[in-house]
Amino acid sequence: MKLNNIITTIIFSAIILTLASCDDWLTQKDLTGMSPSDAYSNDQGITSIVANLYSRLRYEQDFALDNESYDLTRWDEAVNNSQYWAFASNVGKDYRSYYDYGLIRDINLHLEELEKNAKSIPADKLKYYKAEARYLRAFVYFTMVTRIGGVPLITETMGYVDDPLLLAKKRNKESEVYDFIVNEIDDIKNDLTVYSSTITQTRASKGSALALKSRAMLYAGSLAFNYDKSAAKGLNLPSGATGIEKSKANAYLEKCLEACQELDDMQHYALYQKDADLSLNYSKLFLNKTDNREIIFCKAYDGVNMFNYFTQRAIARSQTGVAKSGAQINPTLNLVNSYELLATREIKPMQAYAGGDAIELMTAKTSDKNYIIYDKPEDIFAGRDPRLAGTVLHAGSTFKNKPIDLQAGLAVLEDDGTYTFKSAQSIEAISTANYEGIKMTGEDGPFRAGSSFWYISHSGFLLRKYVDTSTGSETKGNSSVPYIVFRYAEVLLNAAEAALLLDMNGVGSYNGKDTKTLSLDYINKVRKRAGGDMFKLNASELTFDRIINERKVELSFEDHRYYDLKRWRIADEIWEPNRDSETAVLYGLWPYKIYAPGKPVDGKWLYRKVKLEHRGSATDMGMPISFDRTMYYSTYPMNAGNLLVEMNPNH
Amino acid sequence: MKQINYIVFIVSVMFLISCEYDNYDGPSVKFTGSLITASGDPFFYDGNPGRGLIKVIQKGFGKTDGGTNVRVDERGNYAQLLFPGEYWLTLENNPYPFEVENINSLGAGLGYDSIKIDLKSDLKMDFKVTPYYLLTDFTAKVENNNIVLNCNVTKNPDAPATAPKVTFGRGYVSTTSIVNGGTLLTRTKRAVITDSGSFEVVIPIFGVNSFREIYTNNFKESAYCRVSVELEGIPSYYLFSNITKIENVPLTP
Repeated sequence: MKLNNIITTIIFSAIILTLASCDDWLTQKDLTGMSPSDAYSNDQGITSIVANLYSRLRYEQDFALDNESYDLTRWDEAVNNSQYWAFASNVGKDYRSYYDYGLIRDINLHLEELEKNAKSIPADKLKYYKAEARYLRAFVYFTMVTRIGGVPLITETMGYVDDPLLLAKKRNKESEVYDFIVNEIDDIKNDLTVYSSTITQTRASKGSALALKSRAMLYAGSLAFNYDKSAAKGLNLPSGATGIEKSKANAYLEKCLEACQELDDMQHYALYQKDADLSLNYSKLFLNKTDNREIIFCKAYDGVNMFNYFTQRAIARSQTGVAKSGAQINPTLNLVNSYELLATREIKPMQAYAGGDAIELMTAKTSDKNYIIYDKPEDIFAGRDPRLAGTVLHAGSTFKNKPIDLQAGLAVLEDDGTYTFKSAQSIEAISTANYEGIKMTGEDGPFRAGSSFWYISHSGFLLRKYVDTSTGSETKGNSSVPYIVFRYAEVLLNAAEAALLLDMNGVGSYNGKDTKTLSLDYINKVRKRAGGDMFKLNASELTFDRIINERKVELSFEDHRYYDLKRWRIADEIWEPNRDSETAVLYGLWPYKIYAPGKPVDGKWLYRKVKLEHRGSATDMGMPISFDRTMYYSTYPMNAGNLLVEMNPNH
Repeated sequence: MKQINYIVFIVSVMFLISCEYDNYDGPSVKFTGSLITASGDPFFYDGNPGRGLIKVIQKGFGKTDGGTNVRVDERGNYAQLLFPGEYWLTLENNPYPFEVENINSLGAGLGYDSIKIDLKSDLKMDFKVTPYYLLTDFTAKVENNNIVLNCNVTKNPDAPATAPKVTFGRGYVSTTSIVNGGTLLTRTKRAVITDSGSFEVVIPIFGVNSFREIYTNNFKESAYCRVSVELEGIPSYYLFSNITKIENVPLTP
């Protein structure tokens, strides 16, 4: 009995002791992670946190993410010629719907931790870190507003609540998001001074903030400028979540000009002008990383830790380094036709036919068309804007000191004056297939026959822009070309457009300068670099169509065209899915060598304009691009239960 | 042996009694009807499944899918199986070249009125449609390696005075009697027209975007045709004619 009592007492005491013991028993130091106070105690910790935020910024066309370049070949600049080209098909209203409040929360959290825990960081450095975080946040809001319109502006983290509906926010106006971006940038731009002697291109800087301001203000200004057009297409919600009132246009456009002026005042950025050969100069602008003062903000690749697959995907078949890659991004004739004639500054399509344009099928083996005969394959491209040769490779081009072998086949001249076209019947046979001892199809295409016809040019063109020329860059993601987000020429073109829109809006002067002259000055800086003094526009030539064309060629393959056509509210007109359309149907230009022994045209060249088939689906090849009114604003996520969210117009 | 019988019996019984509550009946209520004109004739509609018109939505927690789109066919008929319940019927958020009686627009880009329908049993519902323009005297013929389509377009006297003007006429040829811009077996071509009156669309039989290009080895000697007109500021949704069949389409140029 006694023993029992003792045992009971011991058990009872033990229970009491367990219940009463140390109340921070559950609070343990996490030995696998760092505490915020540790992480924010030094530059290294903060930099590694920020690196994560940078890596989560969204670029659809960067050089690592999209391994088959579907997005780059989504619109009218190029078609895809990978084995999976059919995936680069038309898209709907969900395209580019982007709603990354996870990232916004992490940036807000980062800002709060900087405030709370970065006690040992010197004040001026801390200022930079805070400004950097706010730049990133403005960038993410800009990415969202250009895709889904006005979004709730959240600037602090939210804690747990029992009823999630208490956290529901309604959409801010589209204009409020743009106002937020510009106010943030104006607030932080002077804190973004970096310590190193050279201005950084891969981290937030005053330049990148001003470039973001320039782009954001141009977008907001052109949305306001096009208010009536938006209204006719049903794109303005009464709440203001999409659409910006007309009255705000001038203020935004002036801010865009202000950003360009502030950038010029830094006296750091300049157009890249190092080679006398203007085509070479333009292509090197995207490859040269040392002392390239045109790049304002970019995503860097080293090809070792950060792979860059772009060169591997885009390089010509004859120079490819990896099986099942290369020649995947094929520029279209639609783009090539936009390069002006250098001497006359005229926008004139390539001249393949005498007496009227024609469209042919790739599969047609005979033709009675009246072709213009060229002595050399490159002659048809002669006298064009040098940026053409800096952007695309065509028949007669060389790349890495090797000729590009673009030839669709032989055009055999028949006695009755018509042509019969001969080309290789399978991709394996290209190197050997010949007609009367003469090789028919070039190693780089253009080619479409047999059951396998990918990783070779489809359009008659290949890409030069962004394609790395360094040895070994064509294999396994080993290119180190940076993905440029902001560059100086874009800021100049933004300013040129803003000034012209101000002029069209009846604002005659800005800071004492005539707006039309200002616009001309800005656009001509870019054009002079592109084509020399003779390529400058005069006042009577400067129309809005010139702005459209200039942005199309100068900023090609830089993910601008989709946003430009959207904010000008003309995307649904240019890309109306109509099989007769010159702008929504994509075309190529196929070079043929003429075979006519003993006749004067023998060995000369002709070109056929063909409808490109590698777009759409396997059952509907050559489908026109489709952009409808639902796509001006991508799908806004509808959260169950949140009654405050509003669907986007036309959805 | 006896044991096997026993096992078989147990297993069969288990099959018969097993969980009835995680099976439910499929949609069973038929919601049907037609689009008709003021005179009671069928209203010819696009028929392209991508050009939805009628949509029914259920409201409630978790119902964020945007509703059920009801496909309307070339002759303006629709038929949809639905679960019994309360629905809100509305039109898809697009501008249309016609007005539907009792369903008014809430403004550009903002959608349309909705009608509450209580679906307990099969429901037939016709919609009176007032097109802005009338397409009459549609003819199709083969001429010089082309299929030539002619039609008259006149403003509907019942349409509002503010109806937009016509901008394009479109012709469609197909190898099957399903003729619209959404099927792969249709080729279409457009002609610019600026006003009411008659218009002509010529579709080549050979070459780019031609009848014979619809698919490889298209040896059909008959074609189904129709035309449509597009109004200014109303993309994708057009006014359509009836579908007619033509014979003796040449096989070689």
